[in-house]
Amino acid sequence: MTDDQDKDLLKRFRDPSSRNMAFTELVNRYQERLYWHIRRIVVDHDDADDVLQNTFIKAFKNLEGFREDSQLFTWLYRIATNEALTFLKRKKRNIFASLDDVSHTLSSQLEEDPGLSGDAIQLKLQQAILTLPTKQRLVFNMKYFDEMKYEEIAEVTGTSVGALKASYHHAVKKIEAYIKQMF
Amino acid sequence: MKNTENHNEPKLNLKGFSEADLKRNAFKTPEGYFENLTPRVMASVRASEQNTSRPTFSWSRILVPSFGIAAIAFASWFFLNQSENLTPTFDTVLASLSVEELTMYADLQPSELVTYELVDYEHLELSETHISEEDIFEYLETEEEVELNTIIDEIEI
Repeated sequence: MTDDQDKDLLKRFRDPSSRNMAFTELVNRYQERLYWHIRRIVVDHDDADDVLQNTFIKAFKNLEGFREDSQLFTWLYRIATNEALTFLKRKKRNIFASLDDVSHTLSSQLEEDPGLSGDAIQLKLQQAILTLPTKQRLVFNMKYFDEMKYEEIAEVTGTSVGALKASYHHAVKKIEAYIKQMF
Repeated sequence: MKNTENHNEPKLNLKGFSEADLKRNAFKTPEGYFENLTPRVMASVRASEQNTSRPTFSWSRILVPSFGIAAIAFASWFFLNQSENLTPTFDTVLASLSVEELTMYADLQPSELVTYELVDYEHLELSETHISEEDIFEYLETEEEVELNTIIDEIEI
């Protein structure tokens, strides 16, 4: 979606007579990308579905106050990321572990997940990603799978481009080392 | 949004696996999930909007503060009651003492009161039965003078 299309959508959203139509269009356009972004963070489909619903509810409540300092899709990614991390924090509280320790739980969950369609290398890649610290994991996913620019990731995470580059570099090296050790 | 920005950035390099292999989606979703997603999301959005815009009657909104007030009132009453109970009265102290303790106290500190209490009135016999009215008046007048003199002395001091 281009900036012009986003602007048009926001204009229609701010008009009460076309608000619902505009938001339905927004959901239709971004739901799939946001779902995969969330799914890679929380792993489980049902959890991803819940987090996605909450993401859109938050977006609907706050869209009117969106100041257009950033792009609409990075703003949505930011909400989705926050919601997914909040979900993991709640999960962490239930299993009395740190946020990074939750990754180990997610990693074992991944092996048992009937919703995993990939072959061995894809499973290993996902497990390798889950060994990364939370921020590195987010950066790697957005850069590698979503093919986002560093500037866009910076808008989502609130981190400088330089720090993101370093983070991605470390993530790639760690994943390679992890997978080489496996095969 | 495709990334074309920098060719020097590190590539994930795993021998034997192409980028397409690695980027293939590892997860799957229930059948038809995305087809029904938009109406489901919009239904959730509408439901949350109704929940926030229309405050509904809830017993908990009334009962929770009521229970709170009742709990504070009960706690205050209980605390005050306890405080009163904590201050010993003469009766409670007396009731807590055993007969032996009372007897021991009486033995150690003989007083007029105790002596008086121990007098058997039925068998009381006055040794001096010849006290006249004049003696009594004389005694009372003397006592009054003494008291008055004491008071005057205290005022002058």
